[in-house]
Amino acid sequence: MINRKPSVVATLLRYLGTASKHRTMYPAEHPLVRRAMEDLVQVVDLLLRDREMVTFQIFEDTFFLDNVMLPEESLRNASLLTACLERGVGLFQFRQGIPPAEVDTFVSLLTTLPQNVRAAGGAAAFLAAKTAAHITVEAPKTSRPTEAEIEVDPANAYQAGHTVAQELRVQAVRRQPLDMNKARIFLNAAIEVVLDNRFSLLGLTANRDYDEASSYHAVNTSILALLVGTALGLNHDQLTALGMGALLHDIGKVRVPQALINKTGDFDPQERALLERHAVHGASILRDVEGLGRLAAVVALEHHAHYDLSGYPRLPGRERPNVYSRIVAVVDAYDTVTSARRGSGRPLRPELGMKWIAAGLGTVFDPAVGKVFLQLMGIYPVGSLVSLSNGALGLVVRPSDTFADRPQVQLIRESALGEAIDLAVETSVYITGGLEPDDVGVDPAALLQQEQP
Amino acid sequence: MTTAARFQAAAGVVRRLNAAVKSRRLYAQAHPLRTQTISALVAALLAYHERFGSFVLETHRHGLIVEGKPFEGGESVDNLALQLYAMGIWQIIVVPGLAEEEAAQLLEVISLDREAILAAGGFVPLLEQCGVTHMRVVELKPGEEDVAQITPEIFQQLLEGSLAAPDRAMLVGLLRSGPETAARLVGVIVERTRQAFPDEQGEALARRIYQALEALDRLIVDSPPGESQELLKTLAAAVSELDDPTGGGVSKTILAAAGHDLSARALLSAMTSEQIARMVIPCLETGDPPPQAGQLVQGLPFDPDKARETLALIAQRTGRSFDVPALLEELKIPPWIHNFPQDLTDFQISSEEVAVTADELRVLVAEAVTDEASLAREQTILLLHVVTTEEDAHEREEALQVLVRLAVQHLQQGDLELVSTVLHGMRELLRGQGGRAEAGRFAVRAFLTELPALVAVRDVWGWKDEHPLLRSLREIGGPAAAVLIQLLQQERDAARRQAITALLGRLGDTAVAALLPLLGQQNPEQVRPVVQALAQMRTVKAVQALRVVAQHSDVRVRRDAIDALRTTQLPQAQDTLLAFLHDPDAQVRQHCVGQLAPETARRMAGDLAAMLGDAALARAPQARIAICETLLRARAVDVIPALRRFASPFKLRSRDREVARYVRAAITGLQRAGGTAGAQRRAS
Repeated sequence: MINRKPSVVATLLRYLGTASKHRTMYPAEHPLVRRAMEDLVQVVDLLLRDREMVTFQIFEDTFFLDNVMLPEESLRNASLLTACLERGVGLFQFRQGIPPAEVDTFVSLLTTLPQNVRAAGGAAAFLAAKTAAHITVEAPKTSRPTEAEIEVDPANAYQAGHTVAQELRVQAVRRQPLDMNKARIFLNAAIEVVLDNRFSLLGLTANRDYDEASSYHAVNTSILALLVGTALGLNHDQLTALGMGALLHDIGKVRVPQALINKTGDFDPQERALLERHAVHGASILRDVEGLGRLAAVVALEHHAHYDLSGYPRLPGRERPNVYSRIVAVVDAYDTVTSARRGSGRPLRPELGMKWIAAGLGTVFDPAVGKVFLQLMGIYPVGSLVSLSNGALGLVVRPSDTFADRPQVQLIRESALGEAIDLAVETSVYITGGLEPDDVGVDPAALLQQEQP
Repeated sequence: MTTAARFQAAAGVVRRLNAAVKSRRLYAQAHPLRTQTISALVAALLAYHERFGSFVLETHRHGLIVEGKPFEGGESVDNLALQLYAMGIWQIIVVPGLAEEEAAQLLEVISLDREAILAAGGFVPLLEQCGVTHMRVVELKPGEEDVAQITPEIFQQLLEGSLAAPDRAMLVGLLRSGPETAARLVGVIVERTRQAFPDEQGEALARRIYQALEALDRLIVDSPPGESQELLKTLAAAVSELDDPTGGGVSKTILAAAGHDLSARALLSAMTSEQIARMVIPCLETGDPPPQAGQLVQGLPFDPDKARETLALIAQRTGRSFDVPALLEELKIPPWIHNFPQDLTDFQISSEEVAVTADELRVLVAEAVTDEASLAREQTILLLHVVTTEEDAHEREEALQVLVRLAVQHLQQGDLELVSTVLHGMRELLRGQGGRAEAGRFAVRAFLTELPALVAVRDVWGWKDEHPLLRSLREIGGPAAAVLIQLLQQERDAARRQAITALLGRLGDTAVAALLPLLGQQNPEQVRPVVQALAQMRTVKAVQALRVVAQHSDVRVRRDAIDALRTTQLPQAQDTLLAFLHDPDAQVRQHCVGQLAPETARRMAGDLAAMLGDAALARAPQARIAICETLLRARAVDVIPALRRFASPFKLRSRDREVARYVRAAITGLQRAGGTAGAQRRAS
């Protein structure tokens, strides 16, 4: 389970945003403003208790705390981020010993009209005029905020994806323009995570208690697509395009009647046609997106078209769906068949999901993409419960780089994780088959949470 | 039944409640007014219940809300609102069956001060203690996420799935707060549903309520993993204890939906057997046949044990027996739910099979380019597919506009194959019906409007038949020609006119049918370009089509046609020219005669010779001279005898004498030609 307890950093940004908002709406002496300022001062103190300074930077619409990317906080505090950028603040640093009056000055900077800040000579001059000695501000930079390696908390990135997916869906329902910048914030973070350690997000995607219309499906598909993309060696732009396509591939479902989305069992031809229209709806919704997002519209249209074009919609003039659509088709299918689909069908075990993909290579799925995915995830993907040749029960925790059928497993003893075995090294032991979690009374998702560092 | 009637009835109840509260405060216990006002209140409620079901009154700091609208009842009612609000009452819900004693007890409780209420553990336990069972009070709990925040607007967004993040978090937070808050949440949702659909009752209202519960379930699906099951259980518990204004309709709807709807199935799966039984029993007691039991079994396809357990509970409590095995037959579990397809289980993947070659990787990566040209190309193909498959006219038209813009860009960049693909898509649209065809015409017109400025005349004439653009335009055929003609008639720029004419010319026979009706137009300026275009086609069909122009009233048009026919250099053009031979205008006739080929003139020599005596040419010596020259050029020796009639030098008018001179010269020339021909024949 994702830790929902907000960090001090998240709280600081939230309080800063709240204080700025209240300061704009009410006079300084209003109890709401006073309360917000007190809260903010308290959390600044808390953050500076064990460090000399705290530096926030903004780069590509994302907050960074030193070298740590804060995607979720950036999405949740978008108006604070905009307020900073409008006033030419791309970096702000609070130093130990900062008095409440200076915190107040910083808030007043964020609530002063941008033209007045410019008239005062910019944000730094504004603060200097008010002798805020414990605060430093700098203009936004076009280069990465730090030379040190950027760190992203995988859970934070995952949650950011979830936030973005929900927000984009709401925008699509309201027929508003989609805010692709927000998608980019999540994708930048997810790409950092995947490039740093491609398996760190896999455990987070192990939650299978959702259906295709859920934002979790969108985020999981996006992460799996990024994994395939990195395995192919795609560059950052290509990964962004791929991730965007995967994140938004089912956006057209917002225009399909909810009763149909919720329906279990068989569909009659009219219902099926309505449901299948989600691909065209998705393309229409994403039609006006500019830049790399144009591929997202293509993916939304083609992700059910099938490699041999036997799917839907019909694509006259195409020999094959676009390669991005072919990648998303594979990961989408895997995530769909292995998720619970909440009562509409029993999910396939991860390794059966892999067989599902393998069985469709060359017809439904692009054989090359499918093989890359199979190799990447392994024949027994992370989260698979397996029986070993020595009679032990194991949970797959890492795929192998060399042998698709010999991943790293952790033994399960009395419903808890035990010792780890790398089957690629320990060749005397092998997997004899996959197991149904219900049959052995084990919850792989919960165990994976334990396994996560 | 109107919303206004419902509001009126509710307003009546509020006024009587206010009167009862006031008389409770003003008069002693034995005073008859106290009893009268309570009786009046209960009577008003009874009338309301009979027509509209449960009555709900909502308080706000500044007034009362009745049926979702602020109630303007004057200062007295505002005081009542403030009194209730100050005591922490948010909603008073009165369900049918309220007795006068209960109403009196409620007034007693309302009259208590806040401290006394808190000391008793709040309104809810206090009402229970007083035996008030037909009335429920929902309390405000300041500082917590409050159900009072669910405004009608938020409710509407919940139904649409367009809740903003904070509102989503607020609703999930309410579910997270525990069963009591969840129950209040569900109560509010029911109330908001009634307000949003005031004209619906019974089954229809139950379905609406279920849709709202479904929307709550969708929020749970998107809540953080690990938490969703707990939230679902909380919601399920609240639903099982829901105060149903439709008298069991919501339960029936859930049971009916359980066989085919994810949310209903999820709710049932999250309920305990006890909760399900509590929900099912009232449905069975209504006397309906028991499909509910079967629905229940279908709604729990993954948990037959729970279905069996629930049915046992229901049987035990109602004394009705169910044939459980028979009902379980209804379960119709698809075999793959419990037993995955054997072929999938048996399917083996070997490490070798998943090995990817470097070549395969290289091809994939090469395809994944994201340069501007590739993106524009992909976007174009996407839009093409959208316009050909989108059923929403507005979406289709917007997509078409962008598509045409992109097609023009591709044309400028020389990607003719792609442009051809787009035109192919437009042709598909044109073949459609109604709005689709209309959209196709719009697109073709938009594209062709831009086209003349982007192509050079020389290039157009140089296009080979397999040129992608030419091929596509010919495929579109008539509609393209119609648009080009229209453009030609409107265009003032000479270069563009030439380009349009050239395009029309290259369209060939496919455009003739579209052009033919245009030849009948009276306005010469509209017909002349059509004539030009037909001539440029240089096809038999186009040349034959020009025959119609001989009937046109404007001389210039007819002359143009003759000129145009000359340029085609097709043998069939001569036949068409003959249509102009008897033109009423002498100049046109002269022009026509001048264009006749020697063979044609020879064939028509008799007619031509006869025309020398035609009264219509009496004032046109030049036309007659032209006839003479043509006959001479054609060596039409057979007409010498006919010519002799016009060769006499004794003519009254000088123009006739001049013509006669030409006739004589023609005769001489023809005789000479005849002699030469005879000598040649003899020599051979």
